Amino acid sequence: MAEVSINFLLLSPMFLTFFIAIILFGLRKWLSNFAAELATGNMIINTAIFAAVNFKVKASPTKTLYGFYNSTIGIGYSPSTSVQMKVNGFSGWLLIIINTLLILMFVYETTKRREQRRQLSSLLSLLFFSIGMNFSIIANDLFTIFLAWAIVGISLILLLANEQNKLLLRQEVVKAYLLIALALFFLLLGVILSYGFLGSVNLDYIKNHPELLLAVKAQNGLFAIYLIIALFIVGFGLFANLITLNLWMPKAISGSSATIQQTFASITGGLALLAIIKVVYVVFSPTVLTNNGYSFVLLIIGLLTAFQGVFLFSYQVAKKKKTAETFSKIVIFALITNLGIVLTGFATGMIVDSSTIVMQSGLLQESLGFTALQIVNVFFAGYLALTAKEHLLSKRPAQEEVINYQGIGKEYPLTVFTFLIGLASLIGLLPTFGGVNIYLLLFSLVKLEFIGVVIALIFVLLLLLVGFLSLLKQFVFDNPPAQATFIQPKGIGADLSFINFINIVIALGIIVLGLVPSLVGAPIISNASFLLS
Amino acid sequence: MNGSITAFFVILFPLIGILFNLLLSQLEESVAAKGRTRDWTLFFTIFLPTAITSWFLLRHLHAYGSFTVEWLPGISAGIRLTELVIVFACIISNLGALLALYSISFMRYDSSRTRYWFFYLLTQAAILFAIFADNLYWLFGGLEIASIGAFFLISHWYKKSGQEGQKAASAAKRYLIINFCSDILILLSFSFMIVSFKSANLADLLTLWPTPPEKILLGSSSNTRLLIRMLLALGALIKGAQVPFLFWPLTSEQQDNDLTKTPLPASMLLTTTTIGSSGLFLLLVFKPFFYSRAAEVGTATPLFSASVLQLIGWFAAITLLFIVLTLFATKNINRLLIGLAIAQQSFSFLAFSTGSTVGYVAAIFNLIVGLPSLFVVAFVFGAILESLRVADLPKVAGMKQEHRVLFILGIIAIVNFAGIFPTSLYFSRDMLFTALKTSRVPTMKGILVVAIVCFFVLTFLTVRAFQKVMQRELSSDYVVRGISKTSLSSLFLSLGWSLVAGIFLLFYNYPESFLFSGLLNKIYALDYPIVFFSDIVLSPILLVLTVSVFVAAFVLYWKPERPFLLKLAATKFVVSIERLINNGYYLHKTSEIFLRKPLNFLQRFFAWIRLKSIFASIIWAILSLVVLTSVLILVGGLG
Repeated sequence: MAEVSINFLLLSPMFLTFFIAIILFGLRKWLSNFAAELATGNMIINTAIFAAVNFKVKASPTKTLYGFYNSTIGIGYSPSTSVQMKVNGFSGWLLIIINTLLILMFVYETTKRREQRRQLSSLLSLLFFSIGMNFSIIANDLFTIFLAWAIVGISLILLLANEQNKLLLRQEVVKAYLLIALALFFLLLGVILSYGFLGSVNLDYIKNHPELLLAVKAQNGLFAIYLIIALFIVGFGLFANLITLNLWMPKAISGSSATIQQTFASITGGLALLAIIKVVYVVFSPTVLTNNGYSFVLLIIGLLTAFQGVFLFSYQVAKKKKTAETFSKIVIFALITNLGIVLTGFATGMIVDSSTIVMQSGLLQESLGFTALQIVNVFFAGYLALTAKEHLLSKRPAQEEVINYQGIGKEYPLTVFTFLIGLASLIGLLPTFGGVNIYLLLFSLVKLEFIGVVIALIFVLLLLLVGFLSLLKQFVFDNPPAQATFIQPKGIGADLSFINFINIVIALGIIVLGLVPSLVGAPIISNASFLLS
Repeated sequence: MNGSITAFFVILFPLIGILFNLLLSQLEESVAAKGRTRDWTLFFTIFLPTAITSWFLLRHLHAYGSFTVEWLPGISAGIRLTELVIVFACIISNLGALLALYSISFMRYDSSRTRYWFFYLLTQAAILFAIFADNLYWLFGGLEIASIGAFFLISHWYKKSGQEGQKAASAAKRYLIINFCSDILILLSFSFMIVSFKSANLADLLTLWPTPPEKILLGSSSNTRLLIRMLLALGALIKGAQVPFLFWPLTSEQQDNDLTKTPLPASMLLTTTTIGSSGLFLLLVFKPFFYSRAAEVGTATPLFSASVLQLIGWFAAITLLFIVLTLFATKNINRLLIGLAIAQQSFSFLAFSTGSTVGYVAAIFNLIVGLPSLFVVAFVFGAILESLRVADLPKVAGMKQEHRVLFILGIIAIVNFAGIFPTSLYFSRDMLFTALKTSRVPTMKGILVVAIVCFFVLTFLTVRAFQKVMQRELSSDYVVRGISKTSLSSLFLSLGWSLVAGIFLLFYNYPESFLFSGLLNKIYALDYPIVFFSDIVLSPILLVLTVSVFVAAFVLYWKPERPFLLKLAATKFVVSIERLINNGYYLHKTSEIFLRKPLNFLQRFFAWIRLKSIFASIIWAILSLVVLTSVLILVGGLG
């Protein structure tokens, strides 16, 4: 049997998704009733294709496969701007994980569409978003990365515009439009400057030719290098909701559906962080620059983001008059805190990797692996908390303040259970998946002697824990207020919907992975070193 | 049965109790809406078995068992058994059961008893988990979970109408903040231990302590050890409700947001057997860190540092002074009891600070006999609170006429609490004063003087409060209720314990007590010239003085409304001192200026930025680019 080319395998999911989206749009009159089912089917096929890609990656001796230009066989780089796709041990797993998550999101959307008629455009935007996202993972040159993020950015703008009311559009969403445009501008500027100074946008080429960077350094071009690094950090940082760059996001999406919130706060954020590491570390390798400065800067940014997230999280939890928006913000800020922790983990990995002490390659791999696992946790626990939250909000459509959620655990135990498990995993409570990841990350940081970082992160985790317990008390232990008017009926039987069934499976999965983390942890950790390659 | 399995059951019972409580609460609603089936069921199926099982641990007192289970790579959960751990487990389990028994009576009209028992059991289970832990992670984790349980116990009455509910919530928040400071210090200390000695295992750390640290902090190995000890001591002192930080269980009358807003059994549980004693436990478990007088292995660097012990001693002494002043001015029965509970912890800290074996034993012995003696006093006053439902000292009166039995029991209780021979507390105080007198740590004589003075004043203040509530005429506005049998049972049990402990010592060849060999795993006798007296001059004098103070206070306040007492209380000096103390020495003004106002300003500033500037985000983004480039240039340079 003839072997399928890797180019075909990598590109077919994008083309298929694009084709499905065009068909759905063109034939919306006939297909709108089962558009979501078609889109879900598309995602399942995509995941199967990426599983095949991953199988090929595992079979390859270097655990790396190239699309279009293969740098390892030396015929690559004919044009210096060459487009290149690359899948390695880590990105292969990431593609499967992300697309599995997308299946869940589309299933959720499909179920919602059965209950209420919704516009098709948000579904199409989500399909386009998935194209950009998959592209961003496999792209191995700066220009393709920019294009991938341009698709992501435009999809995000469309997603936001679909569901907002006019007031919010004018007040908050306009900021999102401008900032996404600004982020894309920064990225484009970064790509252009990189090409101008280094003569190539291919990541492997730049990495394998350190003389390019050294030449820039020798010609007093350090300012340009720092400017480009700053452009990439700020450009991706706007997507990753880093400190000072995330002011627009919570407000803009707090009134949106869970799918959009998940897309913005969790998936985009996680992938943007990976993009920062990929671009900044590979193009401007600290070992070539003999300068670890920006790794430390990233570490500080990660910590500050975590602190900002946790303080805003605590503020929302402590707020007396909680509204439905507060409820969304609680989860969103928990996600932002996690992204801060993840960046901190990656930055410490970069510092250790580029340091002259070649001591702890195993420890470094662990540290990077647990950080990567925490991104996976952000994806799934975020999905669980956000969808469960939306499900809870649907129980009280007429009421504004969340005081009416006091004691809701007694009325809708399954939904509250899934919400609390999702949130527990986000705040790093053992024995959930997130808890184990953060614990092990801290453990490896202790072994790497980043004690200050560990203490700062523990401080963050303690604050998260306090907030979580406060919510737990409100939801589970408090009695429902007399004026609360929950939608009837109540109880476990009434609470068992299809969405809840899936969510319970995910929640139990999060606990099982907390108890036996090696199930998912082992392949990710063993391939974690690809993150910095 | 294996010691580790017994210990496992001691932790497991309260954990099962947490779930069992939730189940029983459902039954309670359907079977007996106002009954107390759940409370008694919990007592007989959870608290009592935990207490009884803990006694079985005494069989393994010198077994030094440990049992470790690997969960994740590098993470293990283990149980460690030593004399100290077993003694503490017995104290926590048994006194926890005693307070649970008292709770059945005290909380019988409370509608949120499910929540109460949930967090009561959680706190107890977590603290047991912490003391049995064989590594720093679980020790810290257990303390943290106990803190969470404590937070909810303190805020138990947050739904009370009016200011009472708000103050309960405020007390819980205050506790959380202060406790958080302690956690940070302990965490830093633990982190430095791990970094310096490359181990988180308690047994390993105690073995590695005399060896040169693998990682030197602050320039030298002695500085490394000093830093670890100092942080640990400060964290433990704050947990034990001692100075240097504000006391978490106690504020001034004016602020009134402390454990007085917590149910009495819960406040006793927190200040004595759980959070309060966890600070002392931390010091005791790391005893070689503070006591070892050997030199570092391979070098001549001495391990001992008197400065940390002095710090602990003086902070405990200052705490005693603060408590004496607070109790002098307080008009709240709950505050009086909480103050006395903290004072018990202070005496144990003082004993520990002596740096001697007798001090170490005295610190633990003070807990074993001092806490039940305190509970007797607390239960007597608690019975009055239950009877009148008023905690205001000037309003409570005439209890002698109403509850004659309580008056007699109360006298026995305060005689016992005053440490008058031959009650058990006499031996404890005598041992403490001996430890202070013979200590080789500098300035301990000064601390001894403070301790003796505070001890007398505390005795005086306790008797004064007792006489005030027993004598005088009760206003006819108040309804007097009967005292429940459960309260009296708790009272008799604790009284029996503290009295029997004293008599027990008499019959067991004191001062060559079995207690010492139990705790130290070697034959050890107190160097007393005469049996029962540590010092042929000082001990009898102190005893006579104690009796004199007791009798003087008792007689003086037989009629608390004597004209000269009222005149004395109305003098400018007394009134201004009282005002100063009741206003918390005006310290809240300092926090207002340095903390609250700047925070409020920042909050308003950020709110303004978010509201007024629609394009602030874009400005931030561009600003971030500029700042980031500048920082990178600053860090990396352009050369």
